[in-house]
Amino acid sequence: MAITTTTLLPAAVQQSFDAKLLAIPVPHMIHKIASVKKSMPAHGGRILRMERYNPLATAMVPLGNSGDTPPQQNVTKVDIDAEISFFGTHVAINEQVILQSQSPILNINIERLGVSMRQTEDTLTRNMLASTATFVNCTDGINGDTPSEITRSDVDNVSRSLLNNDAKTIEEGIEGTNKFGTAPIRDAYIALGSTQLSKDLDNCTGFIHASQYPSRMAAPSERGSIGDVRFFLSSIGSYTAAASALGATVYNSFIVGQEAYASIEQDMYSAKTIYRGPEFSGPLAQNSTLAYKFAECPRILNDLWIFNLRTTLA
Amino acid sequence: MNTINHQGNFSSDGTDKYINIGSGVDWVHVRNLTTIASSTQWVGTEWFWQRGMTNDDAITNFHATASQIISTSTCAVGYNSVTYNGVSLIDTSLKTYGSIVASTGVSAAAPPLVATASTTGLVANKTIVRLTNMLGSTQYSGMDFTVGAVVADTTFALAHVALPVVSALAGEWRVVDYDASYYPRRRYITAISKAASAVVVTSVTNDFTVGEKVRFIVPSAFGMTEINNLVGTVTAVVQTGTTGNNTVTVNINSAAFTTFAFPLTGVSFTQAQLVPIGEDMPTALASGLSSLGGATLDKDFIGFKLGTSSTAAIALGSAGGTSGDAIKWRAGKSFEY
Repeated sequence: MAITTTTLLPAAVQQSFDAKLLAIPVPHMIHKIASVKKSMPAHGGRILRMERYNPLATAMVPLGNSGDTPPQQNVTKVDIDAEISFFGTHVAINEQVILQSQSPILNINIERLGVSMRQTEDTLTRNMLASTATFVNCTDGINGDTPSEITRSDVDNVSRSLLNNDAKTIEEGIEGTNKFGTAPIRDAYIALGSTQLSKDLDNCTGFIHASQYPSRMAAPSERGSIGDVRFFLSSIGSYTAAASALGATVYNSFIVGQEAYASIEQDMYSAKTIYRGPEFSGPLAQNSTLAYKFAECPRILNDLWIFNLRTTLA
Repeated sequence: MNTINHQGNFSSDGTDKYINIGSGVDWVHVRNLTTIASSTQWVGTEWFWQRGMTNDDAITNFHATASQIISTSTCAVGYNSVTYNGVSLIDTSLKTYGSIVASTGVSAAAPPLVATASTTGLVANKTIVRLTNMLGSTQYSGMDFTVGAVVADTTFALAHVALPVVSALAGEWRVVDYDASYYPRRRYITAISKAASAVVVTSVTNDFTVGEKVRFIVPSAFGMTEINNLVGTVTAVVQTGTTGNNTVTVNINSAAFTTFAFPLTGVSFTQAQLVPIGEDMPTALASGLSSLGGATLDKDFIGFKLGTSSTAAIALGSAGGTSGDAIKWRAGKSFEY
């Protein structure tokens, strides 16, 4: 018996197009969480100079009754300079795609460019921190590598250094409440690291997962806290391939206090989205372009208030 | 449709030539004027590369005889039983590394020599390598070093290292293709002198500037703990890169400090570091330099590399040429590729 099946249907009739686009992976952009926002004035050159005066010594000796003037102190300072760089990328789309596609192709791509821009900014900050910040190797782990896996002791050593250097904490403490399984959270520095560290953090002595905070004050990227440090993780967290003594990947966690580093943006150029219609592409007006540009320079402001805690995995 | 975006020329110094083109390129054409005018057998004269070809390849013209008669091949296929280095696209923001290569030991020479059966990709006083798994010399494992003298497929020197603990044991190294993105860069310290003005040697050729303020991070494992956390101003730099010519002099009197020494093998520690922190404007200006020389700047770029080789027979047919060759290049974009 001959049965008529769907093979008779034309290909286009056999499919429907889901109007809802699928989700696109977007990493947590954590590296500017702790940055100070600064502006480079337009028409003001290419380098922003910031200056910090060094502390004066205390005056511990009594003046006495001689009337003598004690010696003066020299005023010294450090200049912190940052040179603006410009970044950008674009896509070119033929008019036939726009005309014939059922997807809102321009809208989709402008959204993708927006994510690309923010991820670029975040990655630039990450790279600057990795290039220039003082690092401390974890050495109290037991995996036999240098650096070792992360331990409570290693985190506490960095916290102590930040405290000794008068770095101010960023996050306010969370007061304890009478809820099962929760624990109070201290005023804390923040650590910016890779999601690869999540398992080792979970196994770290004294680790309090964000779900155990007394109130839901954790950002989506926050994993939890150890002592004086709250950890924010991202899939684009910093790592250096083949950099341990045994050739393993080294993960960089930047532990920072207030005003440790800045993101300097160029006034009138912080984020430009550019659409050029096909009429600009040539005599036949065939291609549209979408683009972004921005100008920025990340810079460590005080090297004593940020440490790169280097770890391998357990 | 092709557009020629850029052109230029240079005199080859016998090492890979990196050319920064912000727009990127879809094709590159290179002419070696020196070899074109010669009648030398087996010299390359022209190279053409376009997208779709593999990195380090190119279509190349060469002299198959001691005349100016042109033959054609590709760098990857080669001629005269040799393959050559052509054109590679470069994006230094992508931190890539060479393959792991085995080493068989580190000598007690000054500078120490790393024994290895292959030195492919190493350029004396320029290439950065990372040592790992250095059995018997674990204190150098995980660190980056500028390569000194290279004896082809035999040894390379750690240009800026004092005598290590001798090791006849195995280890590994790999080429670090690109330096860290942001200038000024933190560097590992391999030596600090005891002097009225301390002189510092870094494991990778330094790029500090006079007038820059730097902080010393010297953990107790390195002996000279007195200098730990001190801030000094750079008063002189030597950056030639050859052994003994990579130094940073600072205004710190270390004469009475404990001697700086590397930890012994098998000890876990944080490496000694020289960390750039800012600028001492009066010192820079007194030296007749820009007081802005230490400004933080992203040094990454895109462009292309014209490869060459320290092996003479390979350099003859490679796009980067041999020392003294006059080379002209042009590069551009294609509307489609």
